[in-house]
Amino acid sequence: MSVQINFVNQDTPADKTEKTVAGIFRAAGQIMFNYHMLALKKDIRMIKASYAVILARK
Amino acid sequence: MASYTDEYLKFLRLVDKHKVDCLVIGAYAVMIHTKTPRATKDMDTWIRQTGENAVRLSEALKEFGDLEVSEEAILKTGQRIEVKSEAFKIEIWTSQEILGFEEAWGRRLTDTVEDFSINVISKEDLIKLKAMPVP
Repeated sequence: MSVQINFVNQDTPADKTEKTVAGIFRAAGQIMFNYHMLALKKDIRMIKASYAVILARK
Repeated sequence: MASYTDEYLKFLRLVDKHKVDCLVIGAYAVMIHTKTPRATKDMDTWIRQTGENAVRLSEALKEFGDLEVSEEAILKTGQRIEVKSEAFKIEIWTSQEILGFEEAWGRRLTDTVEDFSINVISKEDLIKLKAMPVP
């Protein structure tokens, strides 16, 4: 996986939206994995947790 | 299960290994304080902007993704550093408009994840940052 680094003006707002369905599901998976590891201290891969992704449109 | 990466954990582990003074802020700090998942596209962190800390961050980034970043580049004011790939994005803030790093560091929450420590912004300071208007 190629990692890149950018220096951005601090006043430039970050992009907050996922542009593709694949991006939404990837982000959801990542949020749940890290949420379990950092907040609940549980490895989502071991506990077979399940979750729903609810799509919303602005 | 949807795909994920454990790059955020890897980054936080290296931050701890290289003793970078770095606070987890943003949505992941919300999750840690509230124990509730919150949608986010990235992990926000905030570093102490000093020469020594810049050197340590530079070493951590080298080990993280073979990234070459000079101390001078890290110390430039008014910027945030984005470390990203197709699968993840870590934002490293170097300052906050309404809060000084030293005050926030003094009130931080130190937590343990697996075999390493993470420093998280305090709940009161997180609320202050979240209450700031988005530019």
